[in-house]
Amino acid sequence: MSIVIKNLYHTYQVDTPYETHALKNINLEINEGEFIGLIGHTGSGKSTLVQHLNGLLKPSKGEILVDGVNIGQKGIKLKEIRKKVGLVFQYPEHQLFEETVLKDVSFGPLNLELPEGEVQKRVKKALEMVNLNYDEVKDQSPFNLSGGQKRRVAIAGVLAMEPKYLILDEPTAGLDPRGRDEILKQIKYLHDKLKITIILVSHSMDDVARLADRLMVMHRGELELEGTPREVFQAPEKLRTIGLDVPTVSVLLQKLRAKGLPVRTDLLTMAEAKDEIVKVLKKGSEIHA
Amino acid sequence: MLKDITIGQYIPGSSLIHQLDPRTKILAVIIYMTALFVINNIIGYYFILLFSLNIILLSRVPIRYYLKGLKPLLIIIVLTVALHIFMTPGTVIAEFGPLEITKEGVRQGVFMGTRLILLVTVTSVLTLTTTPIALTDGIERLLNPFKRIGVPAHELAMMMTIALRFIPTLIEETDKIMKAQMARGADFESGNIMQRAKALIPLLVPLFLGAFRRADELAMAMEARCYRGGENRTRMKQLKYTSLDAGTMFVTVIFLAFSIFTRFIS
Repeated sequence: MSIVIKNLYHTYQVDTPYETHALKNINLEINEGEFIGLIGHTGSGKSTLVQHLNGLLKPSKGEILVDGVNIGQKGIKLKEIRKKVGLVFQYPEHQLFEETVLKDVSFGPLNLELPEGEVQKRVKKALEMVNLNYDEVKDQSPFNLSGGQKRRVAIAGVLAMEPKYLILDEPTAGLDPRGRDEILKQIKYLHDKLKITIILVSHSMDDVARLADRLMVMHRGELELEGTPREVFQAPEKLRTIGLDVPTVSVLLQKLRAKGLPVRTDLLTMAEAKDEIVKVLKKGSEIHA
Repeated sequence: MLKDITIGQYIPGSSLIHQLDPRTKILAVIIYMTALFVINNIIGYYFILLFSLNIILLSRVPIRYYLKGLKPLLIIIVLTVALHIFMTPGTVIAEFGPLEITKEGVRQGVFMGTRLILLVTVTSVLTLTTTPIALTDGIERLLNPFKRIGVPAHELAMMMTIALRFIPTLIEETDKIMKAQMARGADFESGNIMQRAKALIPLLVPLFLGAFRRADELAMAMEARCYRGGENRTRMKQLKYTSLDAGTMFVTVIFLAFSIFTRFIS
């Protein structure tokens, strides 16, 4: 089971002087259980692309198959697709509207016309998934929570629909470092433990490099690079020309190598890099000794 | 779905009309409207139709933008024409049960319909060829002489600028919140009136909150940059009155004079 995109084009404001081609000939496949990092500069088309995956935007050309079902065909129940493909928008806390957290998170499951007991159960589960104490927050107004908590309530609102695929559009934007780490940890947990397929949209290389199995790099509406983080970061020049940064760890290793230290450059985490540098330095001192 | 709203829509271009000073365009539109209500016979209408068509062609804005602007007013125009056709007393030329069509009615209906269409179309020339900022700048300058009698010209213009500036932002925000709620299974398109009204709550609450937040942030940002109203403010884009503007004003005044003159031809 997978999401497949074939020859997708999208044009905004057709036939006006403001016509823009947001997506050009996108072909990709997202398999169940994957953790995809979708990166690109502002305006590269990432947000446009993810809005196609649950039928919020209609392709100008091309098709999208979710678990083999073409979501562009007539008579398709978009609610079914949206249940399967959850989408958390940028700054999702701006969509909170109910008096209590409980009511707000119930909005999605109630729209799916689930029985009340099931809704209750799902809300509880969803809030726990994002590490919030159900009994503590359920009767609070969502507007009285802190920024990071609001965002987690909003994410729970999508999780309560129990999507198989979860898309998060810049979920860490505007959060402090601690809030950011917490959200990312939660997302990793959703993927590893609950086996939800994740598509994480971001322009921060450091975030996605650590988490994603596979990266897709977008530039001016086209899929520019695709592969494992290690593969993608082997092309630092290309990434820089399209306005993206390489993770700090890669930069360090590449600079060390340029200075003559024979370290590997395809490492992604701080711990891996440390071990490698220590190893290489030891080897060096042995030769000199 | 919300992208179709044309209020304050500006179509970039470099036509003669685009180059005019916004003050000239505003005054010309006011004079044009006066003329439109002065004329009262067929010769006058022929004349003004020809004149308006020329303006529209001069603006080099595709005709479909004008048609789009007329679309929301279609019902009002049809209603006006129908009311005039059926309600004007005079020589009866046709009868449908209790309804009578009179010769005077048809004449009156056609005149009124033309008037409305021209009114909307020519005002659209102004908004389609002038950026909202230039427009409010023009209004501010035109209101300047009235400051002495207590008209807060600068404040009015600033409020208008801000309102216009936020229309696209609010449309975008509405679109975004709508999509976010749709991603949670919300349905804005089906159900009866009550259900639809209720479905709007998840859209309106976040929208209002967002608008207040933005207003607050903007006020703060303006104060932080020492904004304190219109006294002695200079502007980045100075309005320039050129010979093109003088020429336009001349043509417009002649046009008004001729319109008045047509009243006396029969």
